[in-house]
Amino acid sequence: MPKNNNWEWGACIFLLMAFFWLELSIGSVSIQMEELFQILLGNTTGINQGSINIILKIRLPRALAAVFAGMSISTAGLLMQTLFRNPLAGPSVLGITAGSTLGVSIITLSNGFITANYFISQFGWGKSSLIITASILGAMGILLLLFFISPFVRDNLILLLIGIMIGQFTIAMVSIFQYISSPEQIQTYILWTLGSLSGPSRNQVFLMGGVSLVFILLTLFMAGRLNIWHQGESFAQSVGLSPAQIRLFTILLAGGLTGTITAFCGPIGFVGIAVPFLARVWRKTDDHRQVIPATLLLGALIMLLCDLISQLPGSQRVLPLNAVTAFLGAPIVILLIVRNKRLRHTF
Amino acid sequence: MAETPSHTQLFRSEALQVGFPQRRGKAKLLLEGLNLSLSSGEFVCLIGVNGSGKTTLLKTLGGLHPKLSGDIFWDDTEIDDLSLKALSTLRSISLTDSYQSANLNVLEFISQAKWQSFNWKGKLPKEEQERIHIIAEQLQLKDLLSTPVFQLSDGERQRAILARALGQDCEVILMDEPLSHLDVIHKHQLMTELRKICHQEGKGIVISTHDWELALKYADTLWWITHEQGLLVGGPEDIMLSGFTESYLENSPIKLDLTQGKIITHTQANHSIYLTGDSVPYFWTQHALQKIQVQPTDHANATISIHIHSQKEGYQWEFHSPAGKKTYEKLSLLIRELEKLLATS
Repeated sequence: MPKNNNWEWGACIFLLMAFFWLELSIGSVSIQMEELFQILLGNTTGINQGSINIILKIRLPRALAAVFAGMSISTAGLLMQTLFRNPLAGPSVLGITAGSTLGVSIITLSNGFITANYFISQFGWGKSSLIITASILGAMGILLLLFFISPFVRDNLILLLIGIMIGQFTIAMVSIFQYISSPEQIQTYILWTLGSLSGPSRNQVFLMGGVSLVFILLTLFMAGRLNIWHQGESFAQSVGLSPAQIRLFTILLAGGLTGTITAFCGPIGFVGIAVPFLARVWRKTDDHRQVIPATLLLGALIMLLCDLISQLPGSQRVLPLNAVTAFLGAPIVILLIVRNKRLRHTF
Repeated sequence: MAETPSHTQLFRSEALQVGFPQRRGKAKLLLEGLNLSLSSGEFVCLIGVNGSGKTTLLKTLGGLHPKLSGDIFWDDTEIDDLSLKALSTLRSISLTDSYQSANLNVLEFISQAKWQSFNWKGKLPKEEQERIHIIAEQLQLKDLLSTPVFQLSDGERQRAILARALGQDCEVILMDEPLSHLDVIHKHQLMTELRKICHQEGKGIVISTHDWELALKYADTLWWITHEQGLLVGGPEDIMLSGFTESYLENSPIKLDLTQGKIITHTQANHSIYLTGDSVPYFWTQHALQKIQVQPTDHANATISIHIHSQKEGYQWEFHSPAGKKTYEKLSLLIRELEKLLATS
């Protein structure tokens, strides 16, 4: 049931907008606030082309990427935690991320540059498009595998184990590729695994955002069903909801969200586990009608914040995104879990 | 609410086989040849020892577990031709696992039963809301509607689960062990409630339980899973009068007192003593004596005797033994003394 604390939602939305603004204004080149307004409004007369390019081609895509990635990865994590009723589940438990990683490692590690050169010469593809394609193919491969396995699995825990095993198997293959690769190739790969929001170009961000928004809308549509599922499998069956169907839809949605973001931004892990926690603590309920919007909002907010911090305002260095998210997030999550006894009843 | 129960048949099974299918080799058969039926206004208790297939039978009847063979008809439609959604309008089923998330309040918890009627804001239509409030009132949950489910006591939670089952608004309610974890008062309360729902609203209810005495007391029909005779169906009194319990309990440490419908333990009387007194203190003294394998007799020639004197302020036990006469104010002290005496003799 909706609670009367709209100001909390309002405060979060305000913070989100503030961070978004900061994300646009902070960087090595300082741009005046007025200029920024004019550029965003499309009124570019009399502003130098350099500033326009920085805002529209670099900072805006990056900020949007942060918002989409934060929302998608957090929602995927929430879906997995609800599906498995397990607080340890995250977007990576099904092996989707591992699938992407495998795809990318094939391109970057195993004589990657020969294939890359071939593609560039044949289709005019750049290296980043190649990595994205490889990542999508890898994620889809694992997703299809799960799609065909899941109807035969009657037990949640077994599905979870299968996901983890697929992940381990894939990681093992990646290790072999790594072992036989040269250091230069490994560096490209490692950089990808650190996660980055500045990877996707403007058009790629729109593509990523469009696809993930579709998945997010479908997830919102599933809120009621997730509530029923959360009450227990036999209750779901009692009120006419098929567990197999729920399982399949949840896997497809979470897999789609994770796969899309991982393809463009690399594996972003931590927020997927942490944000659903925070959302539940904040809303003090397991009602997904509240928890999903809260997850979306907090996911975007936290991803933006982490990206801001990773840019180390005032310095020229940039920290890897995944390091910042976990470094800041882990202590906060531990604190909240220890202090919040209510969470124990969720799982 | 005062509808007249019309006793229409709600479901029936024909030559039903219940068990677990196995890919290779033989299926594990639990029960076979079941011709069961449930009418409106009928309260059925399903009893059987652990592992006899109570839960599997309930799940099979409710469409949560595939049957091995035979037919189950709900409203003259075979269960395999009914979708899970169609079944959800015919029966509600609560198993012992059907309570996972507790971070909802009681109103939200009960309302989940009608999730298909939620609007996009998660609200039920007015008439559904009113119905849920009537159910909550009926089950004394009115004051708990905004309490989180994890704060409920076992008794309250069991009532909330029943309320949720009623909220589904089906003619048939199947419940697996709703009495477990309840104390004796709450057990009776819940059974009274279930019986009332059956008889006043014309619902058909099947519950499984381990508590025979309560089942005998409240059920219209017993489904008794036995080793020798398969599933025994009948009125509790008819089953008792058939003498079936005698053979059923032959090798168990308990037996059923057919004159009272109570479970009693086999007492091996190693000693007998002479006991006199009023009926109430006599009963409880006998009760205590049986625990130490002593059987009271009416023969005055026993070497040990106890005479109970009822007085205004309580009872007194006058204890005669070869060692002499003693008087006790508390039965427990007498029993301790007697036990010592019998051990040495």
